[in-house]
Amino acid sequence: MTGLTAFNPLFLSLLPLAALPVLFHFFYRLKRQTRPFSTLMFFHRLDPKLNARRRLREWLILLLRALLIVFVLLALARPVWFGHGQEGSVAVVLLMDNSGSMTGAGAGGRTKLKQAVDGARDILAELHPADRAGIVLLTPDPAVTLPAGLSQDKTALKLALDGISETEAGGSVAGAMDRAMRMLEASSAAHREIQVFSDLQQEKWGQPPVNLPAPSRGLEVAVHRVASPSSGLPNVSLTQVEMPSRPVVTGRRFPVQVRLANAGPGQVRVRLHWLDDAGHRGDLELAVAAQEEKNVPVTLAASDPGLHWVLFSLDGDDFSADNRAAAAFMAVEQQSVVFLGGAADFGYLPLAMSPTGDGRLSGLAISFSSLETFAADKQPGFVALPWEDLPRAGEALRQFLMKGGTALLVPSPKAPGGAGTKPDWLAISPETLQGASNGLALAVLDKASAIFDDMRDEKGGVALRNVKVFRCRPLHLDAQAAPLLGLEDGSVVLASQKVGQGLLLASGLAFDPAWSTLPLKPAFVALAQGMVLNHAAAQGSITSLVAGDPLPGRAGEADSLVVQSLGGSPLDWKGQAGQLTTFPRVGVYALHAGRETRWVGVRSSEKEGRRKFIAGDTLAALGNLPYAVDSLSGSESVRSSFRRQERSLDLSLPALLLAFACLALEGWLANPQPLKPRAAASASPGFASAK
Amino acid sequence: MNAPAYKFLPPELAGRLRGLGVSVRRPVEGAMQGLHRSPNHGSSVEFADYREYARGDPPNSIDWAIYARSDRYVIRRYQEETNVRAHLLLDISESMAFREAGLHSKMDYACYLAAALMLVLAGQSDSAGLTLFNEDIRRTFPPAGSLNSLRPLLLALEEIKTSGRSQIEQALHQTAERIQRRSLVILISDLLQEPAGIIRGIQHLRHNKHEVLILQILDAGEMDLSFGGLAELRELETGARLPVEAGEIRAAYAREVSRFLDEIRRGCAASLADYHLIDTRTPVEQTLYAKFGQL
Repeated sequence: MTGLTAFNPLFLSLLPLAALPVLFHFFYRLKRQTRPFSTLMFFHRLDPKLNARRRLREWLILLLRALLIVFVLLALARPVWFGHGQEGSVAVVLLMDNSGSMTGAGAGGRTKLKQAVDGARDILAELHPADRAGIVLLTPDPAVTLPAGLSQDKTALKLALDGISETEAGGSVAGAMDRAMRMLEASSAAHREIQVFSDLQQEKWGQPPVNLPAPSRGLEVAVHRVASPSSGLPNVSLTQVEMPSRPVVTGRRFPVQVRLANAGPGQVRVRLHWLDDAGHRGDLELAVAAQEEKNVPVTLAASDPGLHWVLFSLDGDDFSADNRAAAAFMAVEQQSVVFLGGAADFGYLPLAMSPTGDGRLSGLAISFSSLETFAADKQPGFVALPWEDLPRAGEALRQFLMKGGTALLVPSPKAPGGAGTKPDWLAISPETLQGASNGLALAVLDKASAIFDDMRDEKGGVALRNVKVFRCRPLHLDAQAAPLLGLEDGSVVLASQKVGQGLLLASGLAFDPAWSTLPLKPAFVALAQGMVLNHAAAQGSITSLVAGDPLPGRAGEADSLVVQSLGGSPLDWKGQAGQLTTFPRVGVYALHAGRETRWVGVRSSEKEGRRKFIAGDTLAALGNLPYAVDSLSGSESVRSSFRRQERSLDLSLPALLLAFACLALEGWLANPQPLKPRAAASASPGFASAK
Repeated sequence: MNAPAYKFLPPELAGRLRGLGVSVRRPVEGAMQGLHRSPNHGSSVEFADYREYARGDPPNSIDWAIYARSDRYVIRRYQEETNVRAHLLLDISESMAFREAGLHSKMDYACYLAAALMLVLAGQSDSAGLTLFNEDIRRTFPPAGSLNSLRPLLLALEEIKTSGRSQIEQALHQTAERIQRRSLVILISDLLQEPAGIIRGIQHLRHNKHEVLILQILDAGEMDLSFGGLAELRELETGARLPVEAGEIRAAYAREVSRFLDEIRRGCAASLADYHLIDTRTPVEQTLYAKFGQL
C-alpha cells in the first residue's frame, strides 16, 4: 500500500465545488451593470496597464478562491502519502480473525489461522525497539492470554500469537475494530496501524457495520487476505439441537431433535455422534440431500436428577467448525402419582401413566391409596380421585392445591354418580351422565395448553386421531375455569382451574373404552402423562448459546465469575464477569457468580461454514475506515507492506496551511491599497510645447 | 410680434443677460462698430455712448466722472471702436452627452452657454458665428450680429446630437486657417483630450492674432468618482470598457484630473488664452455672471 490515501474520501468527491468561484464570477459579471463614462483617459493616464492588471488580479483571486476550496477539502479528506516522509515509531495492532471460518484449509494444506499467525509474526519481526504492538482477536477467546494493551515485548507477543487456536464461533468486526482502535488511542506513536489477518468471509466482512467507531487521526488499516481455496467437497452444518420444553424426568426417555443443513450442491453422507455426561454414546449415519434441512430425532434419558448434558458432533463433511453442539438439560426426580381409590375407579389411566407402575418407562411412579389417608399436609404432587369422593376430600384437597399440588377429578366408570355438593372454591361441576350411541367426536379446545405438548405434530398441532365419545358427564364451567377438551356438540369434558399455586384438572369423561375410544389411542398415553408432567418444575437456569454470541443476562460487570467446563471444549476461567464476553467453542459450562450458578450449552456457529469470501477490495464491514486490502502471499509481501507504511507523510497540515495562504493572498488581492497617484512629471508635453 | 422662444435661450434667461459684456484684451479687426479697440487708430474720436465696464477693458477708459456721480464703472464709446467677430467652436462629441451630477448634460449646458454668449455679443453690436465639430467640423455658421440673424444658429443648437470622437486640435487648426481676420474664438468643450494637442491648436490661433476664450465644461462626476465599489465603465466616444474598483482608484483619479486641469490651465495661460472651468452643477446664468459680469 503506497501512494496517496484519503481517510475521508467523501471530501474528495466534493472537489468539483472548486469551480464555484468561477461560476459565481461569470454569474455576477453577467449581472454587473455598465456605467457610461465620458472618458477613460484619466484611468489610462493613471496606469496604462490598469485594465490588464485588474484582469490579472481578478483571475488570480478566482484561482486563489478555487485553490482555497481545494485545499480545505483536501485537508478535510486527510490525505496521507505512504512510502514517503519520515519514519517514526509505530503502534500496530494485529487483529487476528480466529473465527470458525479460519479453521478451513488454506493454501499448502495448513489452516488459514496458521497462515494468519505466520503473517502476524512477520510483522512482529519487523518491529523496531521503539515500536509497540498489541493483539486483538476477532472472536474474544478466554483461553488465550494476550498482553494487556500495546507492548514492546516481542517475545510475549509471539507467545500470545502461538497460543491462538481455532474456534467454532462467529465474530463481530465492529467490536474487534473498536477494541483495536481503543488500544491505539493511548499510543503517541507517529504511525498507528491495524494489521488485519482474515479470510474475509462474506458473512462477517460483507455486512455494513453497526456502531463502528470513527477512526482516530492518522489511523491506517491494512487487511491481509488469507486465501480460501475451494475443496469441492460439500459441507453439512449442525444448526440446532432442540431439547424438550418441559423438564426431563429421571428414567423417562425423551426425544431430542438435531437439525442438520446441507447448503452445498450435492448430497452428503455424514455420521452424527453423541455422547452424554454419563458416557453413553450413540451414532447415526445419515444422508443429507443438497440444500436440505433435516431434523434427526435422537432419544436420550437421564438416570438421575440434576444437570445433564449431551454433546453432538458430525463427521464426514469438509468443514469441522460448524459440526458440534452441546446441550444441557435438567432432570427432575420421578413424579409420584397417587390414585385415591381403587384401580377400577380410574379405568386405563394408571396403566397409561405408568405401564410398570414403578416409573421405569414413564418416570411416573403410581400408587393407590384411600381418601382417609389423604391429608392436607401432603407434599405437592399429583393425585387423582373420583368426582364422587369430592365432598369427602373437601378442604384437604383445597389445601393440597393451594400449596402447589395437581389434582385430577374423574368420574368413576363403574358407578358414575353425582358429585354431591360442590365446594364454593370449585368453578367446575359435572352434569348428569349423557350418552351418544354413535359417539361424538372429541376436540381440543385449548391447543396451547402444555398438557398437549407431547401430542403435537411438526407444525405444532394437536392430533387426537378421531376419538369418539359414547358417554360423558359434560362439565359446567364458571369464569375461573378453562376448557381443554370438548365434544362436537359444544360440551366440555376436560377443564382446568388454578387454585392457589396448584392446578385442578376436571374430567367429565371416564378413561374407559365404554365411555370413549380415547384409552385405545396412542395419544391417550401422552395426554395422561402430560397432565402430570405439565406441572413438574425444574431447578436451575440453563442457557443455550451459539459460539461467539454475547452472553445474555450477565451478572454485574465487576462481579467475580468462575467458569467451569463440564463437557466439550475445556475452559476453566476466573475473572470479572465483564471480561467474559463470549464462549468461542462448543461445550457445557457452569458459571458460578457468588451463590448463583448458571449453565450454558454452546453450539458451533453454522454461519462459519458458509463459503463466500470477499474477493474484491471493498469491505462493507469497515465502513468509512481507511483501509487497503492485499493478499497474504508470503513473508516478503507482509514485510514490505509494513515497512512502506512506516514511512508516511501526512498532507493535512500542508493542505491547511496552503488554504490559509490562499485565504491571506485572496484577502490581500481582493482588498487592494488605494492606487498611489503617479509622480508628477517635470513638465507636461503640452506645457513644454507651449513654451 | 413676440420673439420666438428658443430651447437654449428661454426668455427669462435672455432677460437676465442684460448688462453682461464680452470683451477682448487685445485689438481685433472689425468692419462694424463695436466696443472693442480697433488696431486701426482712426481719425474719429466722436463720442457715441456709454456702456458698463467689462472685464478686460483698460482701466484708463473708465469715465471717472460718471463713477464719481453714480458710483458705476462705465466706459465711453467712440465711433472708431470696432466690432468683434466672435467664432464659437462647440464640441458635439459623444463625451459631451455625459451627465451625472450636473444640472444638464455637458452638451445642453454648452448650448445654453453658446446661446447666451451669442445673444450677449449681438447685444453689444458684435457678431457671433458658430462651428460644430467632433472628429471634423460638421457645421459652420457665419457671424451674425442681430437676434434675427442668430436664429439659424440658435435653431442649430437645438438640432445637435452628440456623436463621434472629438478632435479638438484639428478643429482649432482648421478654424485658425479658416478665419482671415483677427477674431475672438470661443471654444466650448470638455477638453477631454491630451492637453498638448489642445494647446498646440490654441497657439495656432494665437499665432494668427486671434483672441481665444476657452470654456471647459465638466460634470462633477468626472472630476471626482461619485460611485463606489466595482464598476465597469464604458467610454462614451469609443465604447471601450474598463472595470474599476472605485475605492481603490478614487484619490488617484481625482489627483489625475486635477493634474490634467492644471496642465490645461497653465497651457492656456502660457498661450495668453482666457480659460474658464465650468461645473455643470452651477446654473448657467450664475456661470455667465461669474465669468462675464456682475450680479
